[in-house]
Amino acid sequence: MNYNVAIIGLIEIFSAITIGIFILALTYKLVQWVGQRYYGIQDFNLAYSIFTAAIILSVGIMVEGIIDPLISSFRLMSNVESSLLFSLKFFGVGAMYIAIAYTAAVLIGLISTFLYSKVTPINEFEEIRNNNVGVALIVSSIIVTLTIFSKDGVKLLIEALVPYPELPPTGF
Amino acid sequence: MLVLLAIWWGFSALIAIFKLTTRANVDCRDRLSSSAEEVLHERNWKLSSNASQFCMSYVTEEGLFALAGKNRIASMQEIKNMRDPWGEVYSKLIRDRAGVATIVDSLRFIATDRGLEGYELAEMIVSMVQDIPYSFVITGNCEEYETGGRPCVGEVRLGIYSPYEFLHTEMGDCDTRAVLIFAVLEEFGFDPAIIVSDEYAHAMIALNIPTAGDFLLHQGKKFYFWETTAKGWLAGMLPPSYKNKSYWKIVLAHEL
Repeated sequence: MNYNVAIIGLIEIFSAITIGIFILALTYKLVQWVGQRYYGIQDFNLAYSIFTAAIILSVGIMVEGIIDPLISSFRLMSNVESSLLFSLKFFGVGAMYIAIAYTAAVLIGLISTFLYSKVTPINEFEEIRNNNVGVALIVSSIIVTLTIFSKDGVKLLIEALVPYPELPPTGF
Repeated sequence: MLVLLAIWWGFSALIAIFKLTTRANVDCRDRLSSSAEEVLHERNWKLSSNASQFCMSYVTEEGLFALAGKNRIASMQEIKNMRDPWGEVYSKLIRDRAGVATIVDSLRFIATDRGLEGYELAEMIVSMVQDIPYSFVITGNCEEYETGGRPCVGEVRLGIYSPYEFLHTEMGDCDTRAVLIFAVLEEFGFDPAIIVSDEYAHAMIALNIPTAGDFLLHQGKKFYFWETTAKGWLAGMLPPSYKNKSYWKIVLAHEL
């Protein structure tokens, strides 16, 4: 058995589960709080549930993109002498990648909702509060689509932060 | 708070186990001593994943170097498809086993002595080649080429050296390295492939081995990218500047 490969596999599973649970729980609470605080939505109606699901899916799609760069960072940083320093660095790097991906997902959610509300005569949040499922589906689709479009760019941005070794200027 | 502590403890335990696999180091240096007829090469290199250090020496001969050059030129004259010659070129160069035979016994000794197998063995082989500084091998004149101060060998047909020429001169570009690594990995029973990108004007090795990261699917198998032109790159790490996987294609695969 190759122990290094097995441990990288375990780190990948452990990272994915902890990041997943933490991020999704945080997003759910955040959306719930924003709904109550700014739009007076006390109970989740169907439209608001669809909207919340789209936000969670969007965050999930975006944050999934950090797993590969995080594992690459783990493998590249493994030369650090002390285990404590290594784990501190790993947590620091992980937190930075999550922050970038999470901010990108939140910005996309805000921008897409804002743009849609500007190009239509209706107030989207008012409609969602009134359980207008059609509006919720369209807003949700816009959020998820924009996330899928921008995911590769955000991933590349995070990849640029991975401490990869330098490359010579190559040519065939 | 307790959950956070548990997560911290879990990661720290995994990291501590990971670091336990670090091996003892050997003290040796890179040296090149040549006489009229042969060159003694001493190489010293480290694994990026666990900082293990390796030391190896091999001898190359001027006569065999000249012969390898002649064989390479002769084999290139037999190329049928000049529009996309790479698969055929690499295949012909790999058939010349002199280069592989030069280092394979030393590598096998290290592998046996240090108990290396699987990914660690592959990493030991690839990192030995990564440790040799990059040089341009080009078809034109080096003086007319922007090399950025790096060593350059000019007037080489199709811009590629055979494995023996590479080991003798310790000068090789991306595909020269990929060909040597392919031949050695094949000798050790691995399942390698050579991948090229016309868009990026670059070549790499790809290996069907359990690891993490970027890969190309070929006949249902995952071939993980492995950059060979600089130290520190691990299997599955595709440099961000070469990130578009659709620009890469397998031109030579080991058929088990």
